[in-house]
Amino acid sequence: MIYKAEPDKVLRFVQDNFNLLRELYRLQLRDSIVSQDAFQALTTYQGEVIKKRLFDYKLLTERNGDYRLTEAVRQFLGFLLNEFKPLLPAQLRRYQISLGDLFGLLQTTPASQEDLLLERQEHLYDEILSFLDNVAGNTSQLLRKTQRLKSNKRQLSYPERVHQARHLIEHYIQPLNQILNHQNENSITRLLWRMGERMILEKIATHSPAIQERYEQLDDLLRSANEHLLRQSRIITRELLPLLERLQRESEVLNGWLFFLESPLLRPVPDFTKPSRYPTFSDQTESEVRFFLEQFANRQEGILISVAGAATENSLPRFFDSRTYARRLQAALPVANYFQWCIDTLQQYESQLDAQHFIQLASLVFDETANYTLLFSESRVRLQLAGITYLAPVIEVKPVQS
Amino acid sequence: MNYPKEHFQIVEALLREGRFLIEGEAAFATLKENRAFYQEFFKLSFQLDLELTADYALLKSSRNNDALARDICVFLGILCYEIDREGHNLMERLQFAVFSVEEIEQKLALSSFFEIIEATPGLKDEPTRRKFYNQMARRQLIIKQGEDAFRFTPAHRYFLEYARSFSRLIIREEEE
Repeated sequence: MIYKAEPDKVLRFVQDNFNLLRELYRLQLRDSIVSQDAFQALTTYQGEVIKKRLFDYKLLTERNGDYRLTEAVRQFLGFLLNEFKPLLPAQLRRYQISLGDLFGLLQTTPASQEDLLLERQEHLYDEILSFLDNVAGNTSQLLRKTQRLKSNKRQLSYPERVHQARHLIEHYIQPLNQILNHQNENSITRLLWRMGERMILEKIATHSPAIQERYEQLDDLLRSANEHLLRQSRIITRELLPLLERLQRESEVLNGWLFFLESPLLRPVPDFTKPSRYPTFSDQTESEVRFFLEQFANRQEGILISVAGAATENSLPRFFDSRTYARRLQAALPVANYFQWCIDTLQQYESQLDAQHFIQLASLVFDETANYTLLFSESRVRLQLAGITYLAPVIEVKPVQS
Repeated sequence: MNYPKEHFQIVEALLREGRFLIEGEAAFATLKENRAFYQEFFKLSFQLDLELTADYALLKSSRNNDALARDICVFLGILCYEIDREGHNLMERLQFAVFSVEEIEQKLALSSFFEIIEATPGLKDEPTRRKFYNQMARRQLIIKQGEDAFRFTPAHRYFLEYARSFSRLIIREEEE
């Protein structure tokens, strides 16, 4: 009871000095009390009258040298500013007991004691409302904290953010979700459901009109409460839990890598295709062409005796000038049957073909693949060379179209 | 029949170059539009599975012993570990940061996993690692920013998801 002023006068004082009260509220929110020093610092430029009235109007009370806002005032300011400390889930869980007790009492009250019944209905109604307010306040505070953490306005370092997020999740978000989770048999939501079912039964039972009306009110409240809680629960699932998931994801990645790095050469690795390029030709092309041609060779069995052996050996030109042949090939393009062309060209220079020269000549187009377009066909051409018959594919050579 | 407009680019990138197609490339958009067609096309023509996510695509051949893939896993694993150890958000860093080669070399040199680096043929010394960066760039896992820096493309998530699959495996093993 405030003896020194009318209620509306107190309210006007609150209005006139709202900035001061807001600062006091925030101080208390942060430190649980308003310390002597903080109070002095805050009121340095305020008149003595204002300081005195804070106490006269019982807005502020002194406790062991420090100050606290009166509980009702604190709640009112919290409501106006929409700034609270989120309740610990343990503080919310007490509603489970109080609601359960009140509900039990109501059920065991004999219908004859109408006054008692009315009173208990009223208390249950208030308690449910109080619970809903607290849950809504809590969710909005948690939401705000999460959003702040996400946007990182306070420029916290990453480990600090992780630490804070974990703290929020472990101590507030997950337990709150437990309380609201309608799939959990012991959640308050389930308790409210059970109450709702009971109220429907009571509504159709015979009661005096006053009691009947109260039951209907309770029924309405419980119906809207369930919707309300579902909404809160959804907010938590949608906004808050993804934060946890992100953190969890990161630690999963890290754990996975650590597992992999324990024996990096033994663990399987992810599926990865190899580029499938066409074969390229290089300085080894000559030997490759040799292999290529050898697969077509129909080697004759038995011993080959070359009659003219030593004599022809000396008459063959020992020098092979690839540039001359390259020029001739360029001039001759397009060539329909490359290997045949090679034979024909060589024959112009050499009466007895040298297999070595033939292979060098044949490798020309494979050495400089950029200059020629090769078209391989299915048909084969039979080539006679130094006593060996080759079955070579017919290759058409064209100049590269630019 | 009509092939989609970027058909050649799609086959060239995914099959011949064996690289990732990533969000932002015209070929990627076409691939996404014709998801069902290309899934069938690569399966029937080459027996390859097309993995197409929101921001990267690649072909899978159920070869799970590729040397380059192993090098990438070792490299990324150690890089993730070091980023986390330094107190950064590794997902954010991999997604947005530009890494200089010098910075990476320093991280690797000081890493407690340096022995593993030395034991991995594709990563064993600096010149080899230079080649490795070029290989990653060719596969479109990183994009070079000048000669001595690069950033990761969204394709790095393919390997992070792979690491996560290990993590699930560990949990299952523990549960059993």
